Amino acid sequence: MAGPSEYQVALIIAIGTVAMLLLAIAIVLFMVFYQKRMIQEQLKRQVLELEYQQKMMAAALESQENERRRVAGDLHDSIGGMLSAIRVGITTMAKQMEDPHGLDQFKEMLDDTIGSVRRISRDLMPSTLEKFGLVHALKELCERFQATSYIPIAFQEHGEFQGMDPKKELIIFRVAQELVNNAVKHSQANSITVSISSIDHLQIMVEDDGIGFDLETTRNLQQSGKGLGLFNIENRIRVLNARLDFERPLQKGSKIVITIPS
Amino acid sequence: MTLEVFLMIAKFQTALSILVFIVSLFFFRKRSIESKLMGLLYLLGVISMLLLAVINLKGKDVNIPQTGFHISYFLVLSCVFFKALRGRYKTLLTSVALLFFIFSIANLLLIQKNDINTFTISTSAFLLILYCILYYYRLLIELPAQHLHRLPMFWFSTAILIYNSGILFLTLFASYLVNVLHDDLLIYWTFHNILNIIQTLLVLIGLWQDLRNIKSPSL
Repeated sequence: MAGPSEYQVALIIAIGTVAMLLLAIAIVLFMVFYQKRMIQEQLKRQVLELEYQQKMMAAALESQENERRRVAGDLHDSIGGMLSAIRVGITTMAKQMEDPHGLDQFKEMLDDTIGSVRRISRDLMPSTLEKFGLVHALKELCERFQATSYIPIAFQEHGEFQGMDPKKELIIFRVAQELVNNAVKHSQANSITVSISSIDHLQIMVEDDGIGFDLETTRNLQQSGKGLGLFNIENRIRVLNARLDFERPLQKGSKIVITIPS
Repeated sequence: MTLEVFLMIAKFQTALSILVFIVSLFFFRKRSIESKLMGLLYLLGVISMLLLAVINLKGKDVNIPQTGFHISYFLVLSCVFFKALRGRYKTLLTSVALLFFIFSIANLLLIQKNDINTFTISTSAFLLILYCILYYYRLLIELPAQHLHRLPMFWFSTAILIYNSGILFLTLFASYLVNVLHDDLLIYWTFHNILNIIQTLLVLIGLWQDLRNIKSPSL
């Protein structure tokens, strides 16, 4: 019986080898497609986790604000009211006394205390924000900081801000409050500028001509638990889905820009 | 199959092997260990080809240097996979490499003394296929990169898998082919060389990806 020809042998080898190659290629293709699917699922999971974290953060911030609102209300209505009653009492007592000037010092102290309670209450929950909106609240914030720190704080408005969700406005206000507070406390600035621009999208900018700061050092401080300001700002920015840019102007100082998508 | 075609394919394969070695030398210090080892493997390949040609010309038996190359091929690739698997399965890979080494020497000296060492080659091919699958499995678990094609080791592994799948089939039927073709193994070696060319081209893609990663390291 004649054996297979060279052509037949070559054909057998070719078919067998091609079959093995196809098997190997199938393994590789399966691996590539499956890996892509796994990556997509991982990305989906990450997005879900991020959304969950944002919701958790938003809930935490909301409960924090509710607590602030409650404390501000108690301070204003209860302690503020009581202090005002005491002041009326002292005034009445002073009228009945022979030397009413002896009580002047107590009245001044009481006035200061009433002023402090009002200020703390307003810091905790800015009524201007709820009544007149973000622009007015920021303007008032600048005036108040200027009055207490004696640093000129300019407020600029570009474009016409139409207003947004009050919860978001409150978050933006808190971020601006923290930034201005930081500039007043740490920058050794001679002037601070706060501006709000709503031409394309909402942008809040806090700029000062102080000593500036190193972002990495601030982050390291934050990690060691010393500086929570930046951490709070970044958390709030994340809840807003906004962008926070730290810029260093050419001369000196710092410039922080918050861009909020419309 | 003519001798001219066979020689042409063999020369092309040698040229590609030299090219792989040269490419692996670009940015050598910055290259991954896997790429350096692949360069070493192809250097060994070129040396063994030259050695085989010289020994052949002298009319001596080429079985020992050929098996020597197969053993070093397996051992170097074991190191490549050991590195790619980030030191995992250390005991397993070391034990397998040691056992394979002993088995290959025993096969060369005691069993397939003067024949093609098909037991050694098919065992090595089978083990390397398993290593490739193990590497892919780890890739699926760890998901180290979003784009697999940017991983040089993915290309190396694909090259090794494709080459060894073909080689496993060829070597399993080698004794049948020896009988049928009356010791004229030109077809066998031509298929072997074609598979080697495919492997080398895929390794070249891997080395090129490694270069890309060195120049722009975002995966």
